[in-house]
Amino acid sequence: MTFYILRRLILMMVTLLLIITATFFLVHSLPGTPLKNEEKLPPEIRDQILHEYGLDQPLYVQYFRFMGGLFKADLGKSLMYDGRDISQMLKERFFASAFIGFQGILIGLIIGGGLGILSALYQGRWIDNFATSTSVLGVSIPSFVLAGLLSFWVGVKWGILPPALWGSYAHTIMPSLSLSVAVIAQFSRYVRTELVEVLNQDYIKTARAKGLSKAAVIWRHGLRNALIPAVTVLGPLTVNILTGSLVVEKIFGVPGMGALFVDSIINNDYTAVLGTTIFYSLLIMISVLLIDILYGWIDPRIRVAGRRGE
Amino acid sequence: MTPLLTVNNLHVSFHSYQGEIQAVRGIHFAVKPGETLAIVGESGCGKSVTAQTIMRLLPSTAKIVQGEIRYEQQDLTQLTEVKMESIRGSQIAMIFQDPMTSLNPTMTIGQQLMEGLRKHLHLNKRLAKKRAEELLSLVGISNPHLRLKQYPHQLSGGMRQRVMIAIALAGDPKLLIADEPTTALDVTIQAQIMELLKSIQEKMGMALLLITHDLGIVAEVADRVMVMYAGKIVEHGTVDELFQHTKHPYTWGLLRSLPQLKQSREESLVAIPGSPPDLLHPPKACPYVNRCLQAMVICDQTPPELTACSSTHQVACWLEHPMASKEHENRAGGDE
Repeated sequence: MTFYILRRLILMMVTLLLIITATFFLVHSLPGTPLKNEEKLPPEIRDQILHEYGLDQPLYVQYFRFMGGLFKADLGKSLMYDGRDISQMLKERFFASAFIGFQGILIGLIIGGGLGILSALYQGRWIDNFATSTSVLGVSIPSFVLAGLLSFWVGVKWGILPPALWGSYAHTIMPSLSLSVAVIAQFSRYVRTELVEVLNQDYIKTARAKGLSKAAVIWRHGLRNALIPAVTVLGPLTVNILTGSLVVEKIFGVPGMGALFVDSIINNDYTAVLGTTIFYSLLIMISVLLIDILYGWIDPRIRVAGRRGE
Repeated sequence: MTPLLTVNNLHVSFHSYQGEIQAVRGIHFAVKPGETLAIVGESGCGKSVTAQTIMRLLPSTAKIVQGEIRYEQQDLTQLTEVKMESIRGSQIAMIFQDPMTSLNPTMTIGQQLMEGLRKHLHLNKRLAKKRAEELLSLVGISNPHLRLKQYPHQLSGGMRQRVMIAIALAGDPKLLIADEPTTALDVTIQAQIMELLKSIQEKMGMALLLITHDLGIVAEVADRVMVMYAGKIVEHGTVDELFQHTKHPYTWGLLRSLPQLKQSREESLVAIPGSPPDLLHPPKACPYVNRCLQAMVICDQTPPELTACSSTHQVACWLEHPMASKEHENRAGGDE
């Protein structure tokens, strides 16, 4: 198992290197420079600023300098925010994003899982129909539309929760809710399908033939087996949350990574784009790794196969 | 001897979009303590449905239309789900056809074995573990201590069926229902599993309701046999009566379809022509009439009653009616 994780970590490093390289050359090929009002600046001042940030050097020199900094865990300085450290900015903004993101996933998994279980157990009844229509709505309404609606109705019209900005716990609820809708929609469908299939398996009949109560059969024999395939969608769902947060954070004015990412691209803030890209890539790769490990933990068949592979 | 289990006039139907499928259409039988009763018949004749009805493990689309299943003064069809749970596994246990899919892939053998022990015998963890090891030894699994910690995919098919038997024995049942226990196994393993079932039955003194389409197994292990066709019992008797004094043309057909060892390669295998009736619209008269070589006019008009040939042998066929001519017996004998 340790060997497996080690191998995965090395692979992650290689992937990350490729992502950084590709992103580096892509952002530098974008039209324009990081300078605002470029045309109004006198050429000497412009050159001086470019020189200060090393942007006057050939691209490959810049690339190796950036990579060199990376090995010293230095992501460089922001071009947009007056030379502030990128790593420092990420640190500050990470918390807000992570909080609404994890809260969104958690809400999504709990409500989605619950709805999925209920509709599998009461197939064709009202709760099943309700869950089906909810998930169709959830999949088809983009999170930014929902975010806008929530902010307007719950925040402005009814005044139940703050419509935007950051500060108290109440500020985190609506962004998380908007993010969770997609998770609820997809996860509930998935759990329903899997649980229905599992409950038709022979071993469920065996469990019932033992005289176990219905609740014990569903809990011990049904859910665990249904969750194995459901865990697989956790990966794509996490990605969903991350991309969704880019827009949702902007709408609710959350001082998070998403807003930083969007702003930095618009302003050609090369180092900030790279910093956030590295951060997002790491987050996704780590969550995929965690899901794979979780997978092995739930399903003994995979666990053993992994050991044999060592 | 008072029977352990009595089934009276049982009707079971499935509901589908096309209508009501009458899978079991009025069957009567009894199982005495310690005996082996085999139910034979082709696929779809209602034998598995009968077994599942006794265990009350029918899918939600199925319904017991009428009839009673008497087990020790209680009618199982009337029991609440909670009462039924205390009977399943402890009084009546069941093993299934396919051991590859009948065990939970994510739980260890030990966990699956101990569930029943803890539920029915109220053993604590340590005692349950000890009993589980004993049960595994009883079904012929070596190194039970290690096996308890293993998962089903680490065991072969034959071993898994042994584990299934051990699970069924956990509650010390008085009746074991085996629904085609050897169908999914290799021929060599089949014999081992049947021998095991037989020896355990003797050791524990339980009754065995064996559902199969393998007449060879029936001849070897059963005391009595019931032949089912299209949801009805067509012939019912001791193994000797059924194999030596076969009465019903369908039973005849089944026996004649068995391949013979001395049969040459050129000879084609014998089959019963036609197919069983559609149970969405079950025939009013004898269900076998369209495939029966000895059908008479009355067979297509009135359903035959069960006629007693001896105190233990009953047949639902007009040929056996007291008023029918007895010519056919010679004909049937001449066929052999």
